[in-house]
This record gives sequence, C-alpha cells and structure tokens, in this order.
Amino acid sequence: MSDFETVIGLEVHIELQTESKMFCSCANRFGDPPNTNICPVCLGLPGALPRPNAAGIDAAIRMALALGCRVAKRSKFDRKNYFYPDLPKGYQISQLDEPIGADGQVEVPLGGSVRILRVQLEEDAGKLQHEAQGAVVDFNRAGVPLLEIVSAPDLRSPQEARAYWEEIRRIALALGISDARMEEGSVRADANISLRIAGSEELNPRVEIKNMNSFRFLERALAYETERQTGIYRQGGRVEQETRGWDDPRGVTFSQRSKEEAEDYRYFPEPDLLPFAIDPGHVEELRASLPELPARRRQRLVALGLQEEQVRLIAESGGRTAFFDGAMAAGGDPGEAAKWICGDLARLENDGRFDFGQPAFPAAELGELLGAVAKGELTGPGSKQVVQLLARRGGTVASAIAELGLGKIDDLEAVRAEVRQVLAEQPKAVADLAAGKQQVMGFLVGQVMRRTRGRVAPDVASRLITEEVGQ
Amino acid sequence: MAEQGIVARLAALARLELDAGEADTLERDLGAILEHVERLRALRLSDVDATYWTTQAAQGMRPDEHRPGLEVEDALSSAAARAGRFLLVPGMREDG
Amino acid sequence: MESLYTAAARLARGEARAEELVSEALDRVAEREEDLHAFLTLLPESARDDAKASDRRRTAGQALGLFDGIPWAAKDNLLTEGVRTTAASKILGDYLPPYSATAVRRLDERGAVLLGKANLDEFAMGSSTEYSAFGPSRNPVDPTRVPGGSSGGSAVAVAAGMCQFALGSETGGSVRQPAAFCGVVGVKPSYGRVSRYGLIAFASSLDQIGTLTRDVRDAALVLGAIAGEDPMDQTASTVAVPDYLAAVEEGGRALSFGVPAEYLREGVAPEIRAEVERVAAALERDGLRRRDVSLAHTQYALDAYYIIAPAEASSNLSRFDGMRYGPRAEAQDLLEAYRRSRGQGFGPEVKRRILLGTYVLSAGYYDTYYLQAQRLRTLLRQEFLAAFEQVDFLLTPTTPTTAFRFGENTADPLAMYMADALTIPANLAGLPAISVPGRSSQGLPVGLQVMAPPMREDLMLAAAATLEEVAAR
Ligand SMILES: [Mg+2]
Ligand SMILES: [Zn+2]
Repeated sequence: MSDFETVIGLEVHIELQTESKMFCSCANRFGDPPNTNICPVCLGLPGALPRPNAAGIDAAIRMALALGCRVAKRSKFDRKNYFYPDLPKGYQISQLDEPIGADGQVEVPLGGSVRILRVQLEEDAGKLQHEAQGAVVDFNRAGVPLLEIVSAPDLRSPQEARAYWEEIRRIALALGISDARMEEGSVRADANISLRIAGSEELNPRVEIKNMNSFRFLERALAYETERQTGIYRQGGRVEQETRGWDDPRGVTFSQRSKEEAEDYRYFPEPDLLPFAIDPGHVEELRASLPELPARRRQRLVALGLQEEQVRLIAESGGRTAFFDGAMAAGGDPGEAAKWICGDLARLENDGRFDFGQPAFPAAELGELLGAVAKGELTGPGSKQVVQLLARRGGTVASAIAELGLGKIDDLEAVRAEVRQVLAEQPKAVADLAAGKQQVMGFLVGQVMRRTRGRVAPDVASRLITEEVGQ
Repeated sequence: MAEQGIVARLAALARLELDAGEADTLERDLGAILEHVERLRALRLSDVDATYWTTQAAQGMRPDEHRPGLEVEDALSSAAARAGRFLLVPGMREDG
Repeated sequence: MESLYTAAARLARGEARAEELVSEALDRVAEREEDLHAFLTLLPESARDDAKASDRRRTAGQALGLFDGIPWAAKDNLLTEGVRTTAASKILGDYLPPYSATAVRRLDERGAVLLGKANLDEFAMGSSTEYSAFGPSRNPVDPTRVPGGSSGGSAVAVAAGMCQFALGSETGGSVRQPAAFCGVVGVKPSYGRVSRYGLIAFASSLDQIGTLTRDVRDAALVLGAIAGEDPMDQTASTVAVPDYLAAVEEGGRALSFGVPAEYLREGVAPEIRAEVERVAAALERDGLRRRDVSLAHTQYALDAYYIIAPAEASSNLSRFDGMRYGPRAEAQDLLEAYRRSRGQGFGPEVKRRILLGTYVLSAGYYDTYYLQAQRLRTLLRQEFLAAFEQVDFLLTPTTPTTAFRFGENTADPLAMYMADALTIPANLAGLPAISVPGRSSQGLPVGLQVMAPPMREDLMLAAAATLEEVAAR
C-alpha cells in the first residue's frame, strides 16, 4: 500500500576472463598464492607504464553490443584518483566521458526494459583483508580487466534489481567474457536507491550501497533501505545523501561516508595511454560473432512449449542450450529432451559426472534415445541405464543397448514367465495384493524389472501381475 | 586569490601532512601562481580542441598473452611491512 | 676530457682500454666531486668490473660497438636494476628497483659503463638542483652558482669531465637549461622519440629522457642508441629512427631558420640577446636563409605548463605513499600513515606542485584550468607547425639569464619558474629541441636553442652541428 515508489540504479562490475591483465602481461588467474601474478606495472612501481590488452577491449565491445549500446568510434582512458592500499598507483585507470559503449537497453525477466547508460572498461583493485595487526594486501587481482555497466535508475524494486543483475551476469556468461563466479567476487554491484511519491518525477537524495557480491545481499539491502527511507519520510524527515554499507549478519545498512566526505576523484585523461579508434568494421565482425543471448534463448524455448522452470534452467547455460538444440536437431521431442536435461543430466552435472560444455556423448544421441523410447524399443528404466553409461563412457545409444542387453522383451508369454517366477518367490506380497493392498504393486513391478534388468515395459508387467494374481 | 582554508582541503585530498608554517607559505605561493595564470584563464578558447597527447604513430594494443612478472621477494623487498606473501598496511580507523 | 666519439675511436683502434677511461673518470670524480656534488650514488667497483669485462670482450673481438667501455652517468630518476634510485627524494629511501629503464637497458646492452647516479631536483621539480633532498650540485664553471636543473648533476658530470656523457630528463627544460648553464650540449627529443619506461614520472604528457654530451655529434650517437619504439611504453613512437650521425655530418647549411621575436623580449638578458643575434648573423653569412616568424602564444606557455605539469604530477606522485616501497612513518592508522609518510617524505617544491595540481584538477576547477591549458597547447603546437612551414628550424636563447647564484630564486617560486620560460614551449608542443653552447658572457656559458618540427631530430642535429661550428668562431 506504499504511496512511495522505489528508484534504483545499478553499477555492475564484471571481471573479464582474459589470459593477461588489462594493462600488463601478468596472468589473470584466480586462486594462485598471494602476490604471484605481479609486475612493476600492476604494483605501481616507479617508472612503470600501462599498455592496454586488445582482448579486454574486444570483450567490452561485445558486451556493449549485447546490451544494445552504441559503440564509440573513439574511446580513451581516464585516471580516477583516490588513495587506498589495494590501489597501487593511487589512481584507477577507468573511463570518464568516452566509454566504449553507451545508450543501450536490456529486457529483464519480470523487470521490463532497463536502459543502460554506459559500458566502460577499467582495472580492478587488489584484494584487501582486515586482520588484527592491520590489513593485508594481495595484488594478484590488481589490474584485472573490469567492465562497469551502469544502468539508468529504471529499477523499481529490490526484486527487479536482482533480476536485472542476474540477467547481466547471464549475458556475460553467454558471451564467454567472464566466468562470472559470484563466490570469487568476479561479479560485484553498487546500487543507488532513493524513494519518491509514486508517479512523481522528483529527485530525492539517494543512498549508495557499495560493493555487494551476492544477489541475496543486494535484495536484502535494498529491501532494508526501502523500509528505512520510507520510515524517515513518514516521520517527516529527510534522507541524507551518503554511502552506506550492508551488514548481512545484522541485516542492516550502516553509514559509511557522508556527502561532505565524498571523494573528489579529480578525473583527467590518462596521459600514458593514447585515445583509440574503434574500427566500425571490427565492431560489425564482433556483432556477427555474438552468440544467442539469454533473452532470445528463453523466447525460443518458451515457444517450444517448455515449462517455465525448464526454460530457466536450460537458458541460463550455453552448454545446456547447445545440448538441447543438438537433441532437437536429431529429431527429439522438446518436452522429453528438456526432462532429461533438467532431470538426470542436470543431476549428473551437479555431481560433477557430466559437463554440458564438453559432453561425454553427443547431444544427437539424446535425440536417438528419445526416438528409441518413443518407438518402444527401450523402456523408461532401460533408458536411464543407457544415459548413465553414455555419461560415464560416451558411445552411442545403439551400442549401449547392445552392451547392457537392454533390448525390450516383446514376447508377452516370455514376460508372463518372468512374472510368474517373481510371484512364486513373493508369496506374502501376492497375498497382500490379493487382499487389495495396491501399494505392493510397485514392489512387484520393481522385482520384475530387476529380474529382466528393465527390459519389460512397467505397464505390461503391472497388467500381467494383475492377471496372474487375479486367476 | 586562493580561498581561505583551501590548502587544508587540498592537503587532505593529497594525503599530505603540513605544519602550520608550511601551510602558510603554500597558501601564499598558491595564490601567487594562480594569479599569474589568470591571463591564461581569461583567454576565450572554448572552440579550441584540447591537446592531451603529442605522440605521432603510437603503438596499438598489447596482444593478450601472459608472461612471468616479479617474484614476491623482489616485488615487496622495499615494503615497510609484510605478513608472509602479503603486504601489510595499517588498519583503518573505522575498523578499530 | 675527450668526446665520446673520440674515446670510442681510440678504444676501437686499441689506443685505449676501457679500464683506463673509467679510471680517468673516477680520478676526475675524486678530484671534483666534493666541490660539485654531481652524484647521489657512485659505482666505482662495478664500473671498474664492467670496464674489465668490456676490455675482455674487445680483446676477444666481441666488442658490442661504439659504446662498449664508455663511462656514463644516469640522472637518478632513471631506474637502474639493483642500484639505489632516489629521484633525490627522501620518500624513496634506499629504493632498489627490480628493473631498469628501457634507455638504461639499451646502453647496458651496448656495453656502456654506468659510473653513478646523478643529482637532480627532487622528482625533477626545479631548475637549480637546490630542491634535491640530498643537497645541491654546483656549477663547475663557477661553484658559487647553480648548475641549473633539474638534470643538474648530469650536466655537471659531463661539464666537469667526470664521464663521457649522461642521460637526463625533461619536463619543461630540465636538460637544456642545465646544459646551457654548464656549457654542454643538451637534447630534449620529440615527445615519443625515447621510451619513458623506467623514468620516474613527473608529468607524463611532457616527460622525455634527454642527453647531455660534450658536443652535437655525441648527442647524435647517444640519442641514436636510446631512441625508438618500446612495447612497454605506448606513447613511444613507431616512427623509424634515422641515422643521426649522418645528419650531423651533413650539417645544416642548406636550411632556413627563424628567430621568433617573442623569445628575445622582456626578461631575456641583453648579453644573451646579443649572442643570439651574433650567431644568427653568422649563420646568414654562411648561407642559411633567415625569415621572420612569430609565435604569439608563447607568452602563455609558462602558465599552461604550471597547470598541466603539477596536475599530472599530483596524480603520478600518489603512488609514493609509504606502502609498497619507501619509508612508512609511525602512525595510528592508515590515513595518518599516508599523511605522515608523504608529509615527511616530500620536500617543499614537490608539496607545492602536488597542492597546485590537486587544486586545478578538483571538482569545479578542471575546465577553467586543466582543460584551458590543454587548449592553449593546441594553439601553441599549431603555431609552431605553421612556423615550420616557413622555416626549417627556430633559433632562440635557451635561458633568459646565465647561471644564477644559490638562493637567488628559492624564495620566489615564480622567479624560479621563469628560468624555464624559453624551453617550456617545446615540451608543450612535443617538439625536439637542443641547447648548444654559444660564446660565454662574463665567463658564464650561454645556451643557444634550436627547435625543429616533431620527430625531426635529424634536422635539429644537422642545424645544431652547423650552429656549434659557427658559434665557436
Ligand atoms: Mg568504476
Ligand atoms: Zn602486472
């Protein structure tokens, strides 16, 4: 029932997955021992000079294109000056007024259309950890290429903000420009939030919440801020423009820096790096090489009649989408393929026993499998065994069926013989069934499956059991 | 010319501790220099492009290849304080 | 002391050994260093060892070329791997760089023998070496006078015969001005001609490494050795390095020149003006054509410089924070550690420029100062390029006065800044420029400056070679 409207803008930072850092030749690699990938340039030693990484610039252009931005014909780097121990030079090489991309737009699931103000390239800082005796700094991350994507204040709720951020992350993953691992801090966001009377265009002081590295933190912090600011306005107060931090254990934001204490970054063009032209022909090549983006994927999967959850699960991964498409190309049914991908194969992937990115068997074999089941050549339980084997060792459906001896038993009398054998071994279950306890039917069917290693269709087994017990 | 208290604000931004005598001298010098450059400020140049760089035929971008850098012992040998492979720095007041 | 060219020729002919050259140099240092204070660090042992190694190479027929075995000095803002590098500042302490500047490395690879690290104004900010944290150098011609700066130690070392040549660095005249004051040849190459990698930055868009030598031919040799593109410095130009020695040998008699009136006006001492006019007339008699040229925006160059240079310096010097290198002051917390380490580590001129630079970049002032100054730079450069449509090179004085006495300008920063008024325009426009000794006035050296179009060091050196010859008559 709030008479207030929440106005949120997000600055998303994404570390790019390149071989080397943005302005030096150190390895861009997570997880090495502290201060392994360092050199005079990224340590800010006297006399060192930066030189830009061509791959970082291409990744930024691809992101700008994916977000529908205008790619600059000319761009440049600027210095943003501030002191902090994780910032070796005392300035960050960033972009001020000529970012690589500007004026884009992204469609967010449930969030509508969000305008992108800019996509810019900069360098990450090192990693600082607070300890009892002070703080310790690891510069492995210093100088890693970082994309900053700034949205317009078009987000209207913490949920929308989260959905937007998730979508930006999915796009980065689809482009393959980042591993976008939340737990490694490869994706971080700053949020600006203010309130206003619903429907008005007034600009109230905004609060900036810095450096969040989890979707849940973002959603909770923004929800808390909405409440806090609503409370202040309800009591006739004024919200201070300031920077606040999020204390997750306590579930509150807290003041970090007032407007008066705000840094003066003294931006100026980076004299060590020349402005650069971006060749429109090169931009068009990169545009042509863009993969299918998550939104387009989702549309396509919805059109195929998949369920919402299946669409979400498949579309969020390029590997799953490709696997799904491969199964479709081999003539598989979309719904059945989706069940496998979101079911058994997803479970195998979670257990680290399957990788959609580098599948142990070609997706076309999933299409074959679906065909075999549809034609009645393979039972449901048999098909599960085939998939387990393929995931473990690769190969084809045909060879797996042969190896596992899973050819379906079609001869009804042969099946009946197996059923009779099971019933003879399970007198108690038979008595229970005869007494009307239908629950034991599943058990008996299972026994038949075990005896035949899944080569009998369960509905056939069930029908024959009923017939035999009924006699 | 330089406004009151400006030296204190600039010194804070630049992380420079100044004693009172230094601050006074610097305030005076800053005023004199700024007064001198008033002539330049008065020129009407809004239709002139800036020249931030004068290199002709500069090199392009660097190919994305990684190379070994410095060993931590060489890189941090001049550091005032270390904790193992880390650089150690004083804590921030708000943490205390 | 003989020139680099002559010494190299004697080495090549087997008439001298590197060990002798280095010994002579060290003897000269022993004689005069106490009076002149050219060096912040001397390397007698490693220099002798390097000289022996050079002699062995030569004996084995594996000499590395003309520079092999030649003693030289590096301004102490050029990084030398494993050799203390201070930029004449307390804030670097006894810093041992883990790598060498590209220019230093190129001389190492040619077998040149590094004798020591030369004194300078702290972080190259000054015009007299009086702002060195380790005490000034003194002018060998008259030790009661400054040698100029900031590359004062380098100029002194060459002028006093302590080494064959030296490298310095320029931001607004820091090679040419001390060359003029000490009576040696100083070159500031075009911006981008020499890699800046390993030069401790003062103002990145203006800084260039330059040479200090006994004569113009030596300047051509040293510049040829250090010039050229470098993958470590994006602003280092890919334009090919011509044969500078050939240019010097050809000379500049076919060239035309101009003497812009703006460089002979107020503040330029009458005897310096007279010397420029004397040499200009002599050049004309030798057949060089003289045309009138005007450079009206020169009058604003100093102002633009004292906005741009401090602005860039304020940012470049942020890395000196007592964290990764240099002494860290005792402090309760991080902020205090920053403020004290920097407050105690930097000297007065450096603080002055950091504050001025911080001011002109701060919110609300950027456009009226920094942007305005960079726009002026456009006009200045255009004006130079237009002048070079008329003439091949410009002849001007290098400095408005001869070497001044200690303390004469330290109380008034603006007076000190005026010492660079005639050299600064070339830095702002990115032009190559050279100072060549003219006829001394009252026993003090006078510098004649040649400025040439961007990347035309060949033309500049050709003109300077002729100038050197004509001026000596
Ligand atoms: Mg940023
Ligand atoms: Zn590095």
